[in-house]
Amino acid sequence: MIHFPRRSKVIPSATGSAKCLMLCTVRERRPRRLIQHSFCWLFFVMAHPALAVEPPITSLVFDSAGDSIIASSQSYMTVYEWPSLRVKRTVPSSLVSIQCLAFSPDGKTLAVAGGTPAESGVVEIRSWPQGDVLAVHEGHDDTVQSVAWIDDKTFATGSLDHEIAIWNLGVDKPIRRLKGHSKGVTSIQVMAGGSLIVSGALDQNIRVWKVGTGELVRTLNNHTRAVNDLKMQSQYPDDDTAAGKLPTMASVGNDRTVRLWQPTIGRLVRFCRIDAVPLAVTWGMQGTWLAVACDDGTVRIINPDTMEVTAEISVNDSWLYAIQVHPADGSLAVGSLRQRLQRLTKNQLLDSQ
Amino acid sequence: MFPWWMLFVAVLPVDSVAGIDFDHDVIPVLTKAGCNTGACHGAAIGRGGFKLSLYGSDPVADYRAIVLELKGRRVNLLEPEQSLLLMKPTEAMEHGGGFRLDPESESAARLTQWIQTGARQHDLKQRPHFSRLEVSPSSAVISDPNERLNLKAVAHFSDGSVRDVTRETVFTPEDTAAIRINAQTANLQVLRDGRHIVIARYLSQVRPVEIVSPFRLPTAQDDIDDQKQVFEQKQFIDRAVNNLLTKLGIPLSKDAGDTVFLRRVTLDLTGRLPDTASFQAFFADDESRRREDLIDRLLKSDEFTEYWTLQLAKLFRIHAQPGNEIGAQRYHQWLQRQIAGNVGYDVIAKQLLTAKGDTHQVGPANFYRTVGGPREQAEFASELFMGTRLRCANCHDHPLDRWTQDDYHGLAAVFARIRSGRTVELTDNGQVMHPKTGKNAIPRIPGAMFVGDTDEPLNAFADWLVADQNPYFARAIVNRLWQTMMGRGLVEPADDLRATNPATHPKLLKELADDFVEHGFDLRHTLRLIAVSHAYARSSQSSRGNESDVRYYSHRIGQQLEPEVLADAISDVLGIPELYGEKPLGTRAVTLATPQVESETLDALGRCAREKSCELPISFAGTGGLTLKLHLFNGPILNQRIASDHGRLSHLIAAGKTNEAIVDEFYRAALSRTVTETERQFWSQQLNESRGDRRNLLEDFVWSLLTCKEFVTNH
Repeated sequence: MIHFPRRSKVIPSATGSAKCLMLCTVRERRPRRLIQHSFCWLFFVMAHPALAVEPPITSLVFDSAGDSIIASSQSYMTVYEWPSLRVKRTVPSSLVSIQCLAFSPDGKTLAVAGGTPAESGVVEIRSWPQGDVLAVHEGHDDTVQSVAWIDDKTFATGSLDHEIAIWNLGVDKPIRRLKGHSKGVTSIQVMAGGSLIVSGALDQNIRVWKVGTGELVRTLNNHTRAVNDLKMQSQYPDDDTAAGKLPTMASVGNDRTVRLWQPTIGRLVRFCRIDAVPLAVTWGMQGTWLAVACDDGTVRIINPDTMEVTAEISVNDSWLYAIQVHPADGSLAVGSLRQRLQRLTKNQLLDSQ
Repeated sequence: MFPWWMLFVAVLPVDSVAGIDFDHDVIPVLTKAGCNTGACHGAAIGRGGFKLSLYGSDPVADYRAIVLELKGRRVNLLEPEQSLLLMKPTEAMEHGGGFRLDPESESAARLTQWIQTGARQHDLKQRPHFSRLEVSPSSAVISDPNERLNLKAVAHFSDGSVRDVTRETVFTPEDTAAIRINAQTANLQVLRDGRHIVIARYLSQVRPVEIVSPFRLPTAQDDIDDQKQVFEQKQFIDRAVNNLLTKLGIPLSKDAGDTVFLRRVTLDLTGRLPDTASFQAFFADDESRRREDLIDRLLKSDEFTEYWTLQLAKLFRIHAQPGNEIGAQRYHQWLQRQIAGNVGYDVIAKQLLTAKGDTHQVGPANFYRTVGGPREQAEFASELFMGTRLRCANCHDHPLDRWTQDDYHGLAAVFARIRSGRTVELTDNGQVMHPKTGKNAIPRIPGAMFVGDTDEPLNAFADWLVADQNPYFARAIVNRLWQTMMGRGLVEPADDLRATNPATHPKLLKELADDFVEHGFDLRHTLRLIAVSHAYARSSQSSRGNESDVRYYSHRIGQQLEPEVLADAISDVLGIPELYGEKPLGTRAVTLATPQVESETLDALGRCAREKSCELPISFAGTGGLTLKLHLFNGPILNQRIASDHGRLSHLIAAGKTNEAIVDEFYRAALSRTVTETERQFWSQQLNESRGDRRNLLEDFVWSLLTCKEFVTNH
């Protein structure tokens, strides 16, 4: 007889201190037991100040105004004021494990993706800044690791169940499933005006798909180990040199490489190998640099023209799972184990070069 | 249901709860549950997308896999019971590996506590680390079938502290039909008499436990008592062999007798049957000294050099690669000179390891053309000179031995600078990548030290290998010598010496190795030592009570004659030489430098191509196999040559010999003995009273003789 309780939530405060726990239960299936369990759990933890429960930050996203950053951590989100990093509020989720956050293009809707490991993949659609749940999309057999908006009403999910699904907002079932990866999908990106999806997976491959038909366009198989993250280079309207350029994407993998691609033609532009495993990647302002969060607690800044590491900033001693560049001030937000959110200012980045 | 143990934990001191350590507390739980075995997540590619190091040999990698990978999906810090790490093995969630962990168990509670306390891995620099596993008793004799034995495992840590880890230790009997062990209590019960090994595993260390349950054979007790009388007079080989037989309650067979001994030792030392002159000289000698005199004569003979060159050539896998027949010839000639000159095995090994130059000129340089690539070289060298299977440490630390991936790739790095074309030379560069680090492996002497800083790692390895104190080198070769002479190695397989595959007679193996070193790594000396022992001279006929013994040398273990020896023996008995490739007629098979010399006979008899190890598992070594039997019974190897007009049979018939004389002659030539009275009567009846052509009848007789077990084995 298995006695593990199914659902209960203990939401730590923003500081992560076990003394300041906030208790909350979500989607209760067995309320009495859960309340009893949670109460005892709280008692237990509070009796032990050494037992700080600090899940890792798994994803970061700036809101459209740029004055807040939302960090996901297991089954809740924390909204921080930017750049002070003061906690504004904590938003609980029904998900056991949140893996990815993504704002819709209009910035009014937040997709909260994750699920229950080895069981289900779920996306909550929330209004923002209210945080109300507008819809819940369930349709994967494992957690959704990545979510990307195609437009304000359509989004795509990549899951550890090996599949990619394309959803219309508010519709129960996905309108299309893209099958081809032989292992879990870790990251997806939308490109070419929403006509193509690029996916990276644990099977070491990057695949390019047509959104309209679900057709696999090509497979980019240069990575020799799992692909951890993908990020398209943003197109900036004021960039004169961007005209006529093919879209460029960065990928990072467990083979310790950072690779630049032109996915529309399947070209590996250039790559470099670094001293640690890159877990997440983002483009800097104007796409003039890349920032890579690594498993040695270091952020590496890479020149995309030369693929040289121009700076290494030691953030902390743990794995850095999430990295985002602020759309206006150019500073970096880095999320890692033990619920650490840190900001690297532009000056810090410059000083380290 | 609320896990009430949490309340208990809640009132514990902070240190005791926070003290749950991944390396020392969590990994043993996973090992005990079987999560990190080769059949499960410990497989080289993991299982179900989740990979653990084999038996927890790499705690850092395991921590990454469990806690850090995929954004920590396998542990739920807020709701520990919801963690995959718990849900899967308790089957609270579908699990391909099935039910592995009772959710109510102490182990499940420990995993839960660990996650609740933050799922941390303590910094080993700040914590005492596990240094040694001690299992008691390390050996035991269980005479009463109803007796139970409690095993106890204690872990020693770097700060001197000890901890009872019996419950966390995995006890695995080598033979589950012989020993039963309660996984929770480590209570042991013997199900079958004999000597059994139980492997105890805690974290990275394994220890063998020897359990002896004497055979309860009341009728054999008198024989056992008789044995005790004579033990004290024997040399250390007999002392060791007989002591264990007595301990096991196995009676020993009687001496084989001079006639059998003559054939046996002549085959073992020279690879040929005793000829008439040898037969006569042996029996003309004083009875008290004839065996030792014979052994000494054989050891000094050219035939010994030829045969033991073949033995070592097989061990060294001397074979002709396409375009390098000359090199293989040079190699063989060089080896033959070493044997003829009684060069120490340490010198031979060192010459091989340090040889360079043109392989068509420098024989030992061909050592580096035996296998390709530094990793293969490391595997070959470790199996050959250390008797260990380092290859297991290519993908993961050896699960049953001390070898790590650092050892494997480090030894490969020692050989990485060797370039082995026709000319073997040392280059300035050459690296192997360590798969764990993705960087160049640092040259390393396995289990000993890194030698990246030395001028020449290869020399450092060679020096270390042949040093008197080396724990592997002498043992590996004396075990092989023993195996060749006695039919079974003290350790089997002979290239798998490790603590968890202990010798049947550990003390004897050590004494043989020590004696070998003491006598200048002299192969002849050790062979002589074995040959003069009473254990060697024992009859192959079993006595009451030792019929089932195949490993303790209570009676001689018969061995199938090697293909080369059998081919020569057939030629000698029939008096018709075999043609080998383009070699002159009369060339003996044991003198062929390589197995690439054309010979359908040797192929049919199953000669080893030497491209891989020629060492067979013991279960295959003595049988010869169906193919051999069919070739002997029906093929041209015997039938064509028996019918020849130029052989021994034709000569005897032409000389007017009687049937009885012909039978006598062939018995002596093939079986090295005279005909017994029963046999004489049988053959007399068959040959004299049967109707049919006399020659045909005699051919049938010879065929019978050469296909019988007594001829095709050394017994």
